[in-house]
Amino acid sequence: MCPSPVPQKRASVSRFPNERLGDAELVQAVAHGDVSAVGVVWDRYSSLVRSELHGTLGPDSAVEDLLQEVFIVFLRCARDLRDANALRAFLIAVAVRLVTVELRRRRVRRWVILSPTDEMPDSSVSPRDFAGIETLRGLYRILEKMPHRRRLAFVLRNVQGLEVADVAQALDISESTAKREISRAKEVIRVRSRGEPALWQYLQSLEGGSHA
Amino acid sequence: MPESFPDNAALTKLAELARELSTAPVSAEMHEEGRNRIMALAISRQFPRKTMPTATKVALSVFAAAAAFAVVFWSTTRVRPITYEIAGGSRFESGYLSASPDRAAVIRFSDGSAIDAAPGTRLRVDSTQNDGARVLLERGSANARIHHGKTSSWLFVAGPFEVHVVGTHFNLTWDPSKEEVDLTLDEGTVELKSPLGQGPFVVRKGQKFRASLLTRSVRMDDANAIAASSVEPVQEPPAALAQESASDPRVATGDESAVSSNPNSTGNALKASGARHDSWQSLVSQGRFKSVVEAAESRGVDGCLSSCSLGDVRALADAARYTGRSDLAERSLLAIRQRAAAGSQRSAAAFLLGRSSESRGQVSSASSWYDTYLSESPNGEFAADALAGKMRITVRTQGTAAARPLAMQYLQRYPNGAHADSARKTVESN
Repeated sequence: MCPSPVPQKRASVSRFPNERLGDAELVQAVAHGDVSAVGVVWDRYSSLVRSELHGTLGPDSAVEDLLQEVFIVFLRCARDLRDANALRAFLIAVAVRLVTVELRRRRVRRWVILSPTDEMPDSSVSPRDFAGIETLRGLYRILEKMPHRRRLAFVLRNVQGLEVADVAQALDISESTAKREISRAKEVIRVRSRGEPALWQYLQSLEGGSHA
Repeated sequence: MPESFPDNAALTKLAELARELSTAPVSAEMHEEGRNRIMALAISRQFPRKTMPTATKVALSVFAAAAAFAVVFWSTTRVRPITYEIAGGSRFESGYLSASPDRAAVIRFSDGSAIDAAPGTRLRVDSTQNDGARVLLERGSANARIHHGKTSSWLFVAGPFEVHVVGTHFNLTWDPSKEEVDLTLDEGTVELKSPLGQGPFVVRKGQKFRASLLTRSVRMDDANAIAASSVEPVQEPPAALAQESASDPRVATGDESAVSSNPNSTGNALKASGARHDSWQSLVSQGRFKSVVEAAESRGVDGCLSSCSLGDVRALADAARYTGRSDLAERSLLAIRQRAAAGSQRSAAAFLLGRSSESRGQVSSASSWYDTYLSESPNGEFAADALAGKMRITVRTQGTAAARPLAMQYLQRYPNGAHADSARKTVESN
């Protein structure tokens, strides 16, 4: 008797885990409808984008919605993304654009419906301490009055730690303009911080510490 | 605290604090919730466009409704400019009328007003509004019958002379070659602005106003008088004091009974009757300046300055200025300053003292008087001229750069003022 043939074992082709794909491959995967790749992009960049939005708006309930918007734009544009390697820069640029629109919208809304206060909402994120939150409230009140581009330039460079070239790219301006905007933002903060008691006290404490 | 505080190091620390807040990790639940939301969208392949926020929708709706209301309101309530038609003469372009040398032409307006252009006259209807028009008389004679409405506003321009009309019947003649203007009022009252004066002339029914730029002379006569009085060449023509006669009912009604129509007899009449001295304002408005001065001297100038009515002293000041008696004019104006505790007469005297000082080259004194006027009457009728005077003096004494702030102030307050051109030149030259 012929032994029954041993069933031939099918060669298993394991899929390369998306988590280990580079940005370019991820973008291609998303473009071809790979839903799991979307989750990977989320895991990889949602914190960065959230941080960018958070850094610009401050603690704000709109951050999570805007974060979704950024990724929706990504889903919509994945097929057309020319430089798939520039995913990070793309997401930051989208975030910058959306946050700019949001800031403009808020300015109009304040003007139209005369919101009684521009106060920053309470943070859902635990601050280091109450004084720290008050300090940042002061900072964001100053940022609020700046032109959007200047505000974003400062946040991207100083809060997010982007290189000047990346700031310029995100804002679609030249590097020299980016430097100038950052410098002017600092100057504005220098001048106006005197009108923000908590912020002024914090900065003075730093000065005292540095001399100590 | 140094100017550079907070320094870059402090700002970096501050940024780190902000970064600490912005990079604080969110809870696993929040991260997962967001992930699920975006993956659900990816699966559905329906990527919603960002919808317009409700607040924006409401705001836009409010704007749209307001705009629609404004459009409807404007279209239903706006009053269209008056229209006109030209009969006779040649029309080279819209609004331009050239009457032939042997035939008159007429412009009829939709509000009932009409302008008869004498043969050879050239004029232009420069613009029309719902309540009047701006007419430029280039040369010749125009007989205008202006319909009197609640808000009528007509302006006739003859060379540098401007005639503001509400409702009246008058004849205006302008000879550009001789630079002479002639205005005769048949009905009503007009206000005439002349480059020879700092204030408008009020010309009333039965009066005839004549001015020549070449001889810098002004005369105002009773049009019905057989012989009009002639007036010496004017150094500074009638100003606001002529306006004061508006309150004189005898002038307003053209009643000449209080004023002799014979200029040669006026002084004697005043000498003969002290009770008649209050007609000086009327005499000034008629251009009989010399008679007023003579009458004052016959009464005794010192006594008059201390006891005559303020209106008479003002009339005397004007008459003295127009006859070249600047010393008497200045004494009169100072007397007004001394006697009037406050009010427009007192401040007007300050302005006129400034003009008098400026004409004599005493720029420091002039500037001081202009300052006095502007501080007492910052929005007074001579405020524009006082400001312009200060600007002129500053240009002359300190140069255009120093005068620039005054010029800018002038343009800001009086962008279409009589001195706007020189103010612009001052601004642009810096």
